[in-house]
Amino acid sequence: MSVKKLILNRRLFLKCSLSGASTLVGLPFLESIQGNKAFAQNLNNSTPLRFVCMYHPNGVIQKKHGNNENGWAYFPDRSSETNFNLANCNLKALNDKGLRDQLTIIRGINTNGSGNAHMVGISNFLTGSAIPNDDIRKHRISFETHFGNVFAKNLPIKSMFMAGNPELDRPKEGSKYNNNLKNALSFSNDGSLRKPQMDQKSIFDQLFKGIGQTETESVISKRDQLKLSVLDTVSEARDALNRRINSSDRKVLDNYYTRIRELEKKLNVQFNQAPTGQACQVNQNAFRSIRNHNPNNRISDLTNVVDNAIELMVLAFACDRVRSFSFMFGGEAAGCEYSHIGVNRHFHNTLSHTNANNNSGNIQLHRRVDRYHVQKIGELAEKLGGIREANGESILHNSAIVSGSGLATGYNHSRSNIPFIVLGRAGGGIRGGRFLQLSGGNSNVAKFYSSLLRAYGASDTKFGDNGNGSTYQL
Amino acid sequence: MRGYKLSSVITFIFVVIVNVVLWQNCAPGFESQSISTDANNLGSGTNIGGSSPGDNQTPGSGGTLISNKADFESFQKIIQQRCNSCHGGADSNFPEISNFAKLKTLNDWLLHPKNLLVGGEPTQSLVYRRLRLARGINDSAIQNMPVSKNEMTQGEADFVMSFIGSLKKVEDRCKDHNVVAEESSLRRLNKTEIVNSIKLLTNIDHPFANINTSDGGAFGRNGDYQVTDQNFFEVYFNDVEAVADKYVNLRANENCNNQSGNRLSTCLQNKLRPIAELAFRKELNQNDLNIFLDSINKLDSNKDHSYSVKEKLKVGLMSILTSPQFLYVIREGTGSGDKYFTDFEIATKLSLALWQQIPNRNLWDKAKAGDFTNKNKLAAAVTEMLNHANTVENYSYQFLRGWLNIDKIFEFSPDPQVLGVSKNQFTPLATDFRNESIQIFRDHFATNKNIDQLVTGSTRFLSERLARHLGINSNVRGNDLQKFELPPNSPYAGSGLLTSSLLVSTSLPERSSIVFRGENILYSFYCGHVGAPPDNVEPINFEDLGPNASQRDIAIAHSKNPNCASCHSQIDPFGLALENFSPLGQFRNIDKFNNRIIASSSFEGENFNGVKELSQVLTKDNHFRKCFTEINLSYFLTKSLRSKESLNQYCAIKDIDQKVSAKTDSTKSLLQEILTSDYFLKWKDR
Repeated sequence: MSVKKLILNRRLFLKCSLSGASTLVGLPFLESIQGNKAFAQNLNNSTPLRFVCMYHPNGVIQKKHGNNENGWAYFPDRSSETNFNLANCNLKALNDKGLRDQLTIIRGINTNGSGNAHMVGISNFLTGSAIPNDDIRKHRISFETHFGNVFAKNLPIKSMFMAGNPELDRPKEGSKYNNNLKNALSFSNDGSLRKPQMDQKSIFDQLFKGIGQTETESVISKRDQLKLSVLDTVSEARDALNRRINSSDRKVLDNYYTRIRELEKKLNVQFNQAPTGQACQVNQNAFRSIRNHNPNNRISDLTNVVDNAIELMVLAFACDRVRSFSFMFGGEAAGCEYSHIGVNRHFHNTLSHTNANNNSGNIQLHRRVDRYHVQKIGELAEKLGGIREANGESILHNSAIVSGSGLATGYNHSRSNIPFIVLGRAGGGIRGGRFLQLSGGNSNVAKFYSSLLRAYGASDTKFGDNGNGSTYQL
Repeated sequence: MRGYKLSSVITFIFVVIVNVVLWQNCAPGFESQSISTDANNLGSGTNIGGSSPGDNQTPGSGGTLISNKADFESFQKIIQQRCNSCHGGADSNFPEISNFAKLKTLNDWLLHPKNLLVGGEPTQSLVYRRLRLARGINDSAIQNMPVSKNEMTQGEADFVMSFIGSLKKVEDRCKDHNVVAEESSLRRLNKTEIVNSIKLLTNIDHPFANINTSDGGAFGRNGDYQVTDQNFFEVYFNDVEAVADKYVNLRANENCNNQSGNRLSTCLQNKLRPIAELAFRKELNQNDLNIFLDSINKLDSNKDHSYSVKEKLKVGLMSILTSPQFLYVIREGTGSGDKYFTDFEIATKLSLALWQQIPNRNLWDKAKAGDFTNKNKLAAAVTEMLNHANTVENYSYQFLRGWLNIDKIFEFSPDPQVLGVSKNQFTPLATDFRNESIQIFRDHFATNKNIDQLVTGSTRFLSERLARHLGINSNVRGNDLQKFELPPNSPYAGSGLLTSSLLVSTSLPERSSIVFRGENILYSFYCGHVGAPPDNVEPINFEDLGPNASQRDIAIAHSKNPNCASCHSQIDPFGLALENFSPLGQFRNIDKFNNRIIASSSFEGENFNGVKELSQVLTKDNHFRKCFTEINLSYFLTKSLRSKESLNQYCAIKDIDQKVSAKTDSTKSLLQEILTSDYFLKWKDR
């Protein structure tokens, strides 16, 4: 694909955008700017499919202590698969938002593996794979990465991992568990750990580069080619360097050269696809105080970060910039706080380590945190449900939002019956409105993702430790 | 209430006695080793007489001991038969005591922190001292074993004595130990190193604000857990472009504007070559030169656009800074076995470890001259670097970040309703606490104090507000930290870093934490280790203790729980001794329920009360100094070493410690020994 052609496409888009046409373009959108393969593929196969993981750490309160919100459990009372009462549980917000039909509650999923429960739980949640020897330096691909590879083949950004309050990356000697492991939700194609992105301004620029661009085509091209000459040259020097180092070091460097290639590819391809409709209106001012969050500081008020993350995901889907996200409210066992909802206690050390058998004040605060997570997941689903796509369905219908935690309950580090819900229909493959109770061979995370792949219509449903790709109906 | 407290005291005394009497072990390092079949590990083979089972004999039935694999197996068999009903691990009736089933190799026994077996010294070995039949030993504080009817025969006891007696002392076994070399581990420069190095190369102080401060294991200094994902790379690349823009703009009048053709090429090369030499830490060959020359040539040959001289200089600099030769610490060479680092590699290691930047021109020149592979010149260069202000500044901070996690204090968020202060209100004090720890360490380093002074010293650095907060009567005024010697009667005196920021950074929003304080002391000052909390453990019901239970009461109840005791009996004693300090680091005599604070504790048979006595326990038998050596070796070898993990690591730490003890016993002496030792100068493939 030549640079010239791509720039032409981008310029055409910009003309539309600058003339205000972008806000008027309905569906179907302009055929002349449907330049890339992913887009064509999606036209043929109806609209794009999407995936989001909304991860919250340290488990939830599963024990019910009463019928008011201070005593609610996470899971609702259940009579049958379709008969369950959302009014008296911490998932109530989803009912209030009219999302019951889009909701699939799953009880009976366990996170597998041995070692530190937090690390096992989080690293299993999206990979469906147990950590080898309690060491995640080499793990397996996570689902959102896999999804991007399968369903967003030609998009420059296939998936993105964001976080509100990950554990900070500080070298603490003596502990076997590096702080990075507390954020071990997302993994690359080669099973290497991904780092969550927290800089939302940078995320915005990555996602919406080109839209509203005022620089001339020539200036952009000249700068990009300057960068490419740097990347080309560094890549070309690879062989000379490789000859001087041993094979294990060479593997580490391979990773670095992959990063260089990926940037080269991005600079060559650019973003030329058009927005999918009226909902794609990129305006940074619409975000609340979007700014560069310092990744080295913890945030005690998550309001802006979470709300902006939701807006970024919704807009990215509406503009078809990315089709797969993972978002982590906080790292496992990390010092997350939720002062914005009046919770000034340490979520891990104080709230989640309090005996949940008794309905103490700390447990009630924990429930408040649980409800906050559900509220925000509901907001994301609600926004996606409000955007219609080419096939007449909402983005939510064409998506699956998987939410949960790697631990079932924090105080005893249990990993059986982890909180696990799905919102959306994966394009139609998920029935919705059900409360599944899994057991036996269906209890592992990997089989859920295989089943989700089946729901999306993927031909290959093998994933994680589920080597034969067996599934169940979602 | 009084009765309740009395019962707590009795309970505590009981627990202490149990902990003293019973053997404990939760060092995870012993879990994974297989049974050693190395006969060399088993001692001299000298016939020392006494009863022995022999290869084909029942243990204790007589015969002559020849220390070999069979003897070790016989020893294990006796232990298994006579001891493991209580010491056998998960099914033990007493899970808080040592799990002998974990001790698979002779090294496991010999390196056990409780001196279970002291080679050649039966009477110093806890296993033998505890035997019911080992009468006549003046050790009334301990209980004779076995306690059940499963008593050992005289023959078995004699065999155990003979077996221990036949073993080489660990010190003797260290004579043949292998050097613990740095393992080949290519790593990326961390953020601090990137910022400092680019400043050195370009004189531009660019913050690289969106790159994480550090990542990687072993103090952020090796490649383990380092993530170089697309986000990092793109952020870094954009920052490099910004640096290059600043660089060429600052040098608008001195670049090669008036040149063209070959003269321009030569001019650009002359400007970039010195930068590349330092950046790549080597004498450049043509391949290295091509890294920036080729990118300039690509601009020259671009048909779509023409580029200015400034842009060519920019692209050359960007190529240097994007190249892995700059961004990664690369060890050259292949093949197995230990190898010595080259001069440039040693210069790089020294400079990164002490100054957090790549070598400057002075070090580069010394490397070119071969000074770092010349023993005497190396020693002189190391001495010079250790006395340099950069070392005091950078090593102190970087080491403290990894050792004591000093920046963690900024994560402390006090609950204003409980502690009466909000996070924002406390931030200035948190800053003072954190900076004071750095100042204490820097002062300690710069003034060549004895290593133990880090936990026994009385030098503080106080601002007016910090002094007021701590209730220290001083004449310090203003917000700057000033050196202050505590009077001997100060509750903070004689405790060094133990009563600094550590007290706060380990606190929960509403209270101090005996567990977190204890864990930090155990890991950072005693070099002990415990495993992760087990899964699916039902919580302890503390409600029986009443609503006004002290944290001490709760901790003691905690350590009585069999599921928790094996590790908390290692952790909690240190935390209990710090109970006299509030979550905000202030001295206190009573807790929030008006309970009188009790700070007495016991660890491995040592009773202590309060932080001053804790300091004495930590420094007894040079334990802290050895631990400090272990941590520094880990820092400089960029991998976690544990003296209790393997014989080689034990010996390496002992070797350095002995050399230091023969000198001035200061941190500088310690570093001088490490940095001129083979441990630092050699590497091997992982």
